[in-house]
Amino acid sequence: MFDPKEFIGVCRGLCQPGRSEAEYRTAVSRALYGVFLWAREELDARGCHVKADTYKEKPFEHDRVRSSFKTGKFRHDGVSSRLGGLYKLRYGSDYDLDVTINQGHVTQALEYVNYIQDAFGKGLFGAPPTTS
Amino acid sequence: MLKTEIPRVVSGRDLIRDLNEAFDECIMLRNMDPDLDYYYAGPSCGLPVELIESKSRFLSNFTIFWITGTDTVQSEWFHTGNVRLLCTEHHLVAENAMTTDWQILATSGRLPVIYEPEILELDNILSRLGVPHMVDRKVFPFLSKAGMEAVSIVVDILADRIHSGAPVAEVRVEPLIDVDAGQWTEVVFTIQVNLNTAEANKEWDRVLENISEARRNIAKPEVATFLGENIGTHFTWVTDRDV
Repeated sequence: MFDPKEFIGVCRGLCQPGRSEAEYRTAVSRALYGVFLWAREELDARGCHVKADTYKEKPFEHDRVRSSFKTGKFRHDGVSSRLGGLYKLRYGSDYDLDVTINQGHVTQALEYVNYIQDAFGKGLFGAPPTTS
Repeated sequence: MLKTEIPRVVSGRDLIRDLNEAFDECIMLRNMDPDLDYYYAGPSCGLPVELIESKSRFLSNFTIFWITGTDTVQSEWFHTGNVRLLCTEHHLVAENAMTTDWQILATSGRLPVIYEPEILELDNILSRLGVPHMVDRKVFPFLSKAGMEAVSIVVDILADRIHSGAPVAEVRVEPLIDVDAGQWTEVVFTIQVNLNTAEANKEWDRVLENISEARRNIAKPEVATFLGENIGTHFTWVTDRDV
């Protein structure tokens, strides 16, 4: 099974001076998807129903993952805010052709990722899921 | 162009609502009797305004005129606080009297709601920050009364931090919308700080803790919900370290 954290590695690899804007945009997008898919799998493994049952429901997974960090058992204001920041950067990178995306945006995205990674590892998903 | 002062100040939103009702009335009258040259409709709340659709002069286009206490049909400025509306033969134009920014609201048919009172209210709230601030006007459709109260709470928390020495360079208020599925929207404070990564994260978490505490103490559940689920705070900072 593919490990979505590899996307974060791709983002780090592209966070260098002299890359093209297309690569910076790709890097920001991969950062968000690396975190989102990682969170989705961890939440699902802990009994939190965030994964879509049907193809039509797929786009709603983002809302479910985001909501999981806003309220309930997995509430974490810090993660929720950094994830929100990542979504904002990602929408700009993937949809807005009028803005210029540069290495600074990738760096900022990775700062958010670092915080989230730390929170996932230390608190939220530090212990392995128990089968229920 | 004749300019007419109207003594009573009305909100832009009320005015547009009344205009929309008048439009609907015009359309209904025209459907009932398509051969008339003019269709008159008066707004419901007693504004000194009437709407006329003139079929004969402008064919299928709706044409708006204002009548303000006289029987003269003319284009003129209509003042609503700091926004004034100009009705010409083909356009309804709104101008911000303070900034002179202007936009065409409509050329025909129904008019969009403008958020003049909310713009002024939010600007007043944000001025408490004491640092440069910018507002993306696309947030206004998401700012209910409870939303505005929640925004005010966040601003007070940020203002407190700024007055305590947090080096905030700029605050922007923007919408964050789920582009892919349209499932969620947030009103986001983007706070640019002159701090390194560790200090920025610490300051950010402190602000979040303060917001969380405020949320626990709010008596109004709709404000608490908005604060918890529909407002985001995003810190940004410049870093040159290897991340």
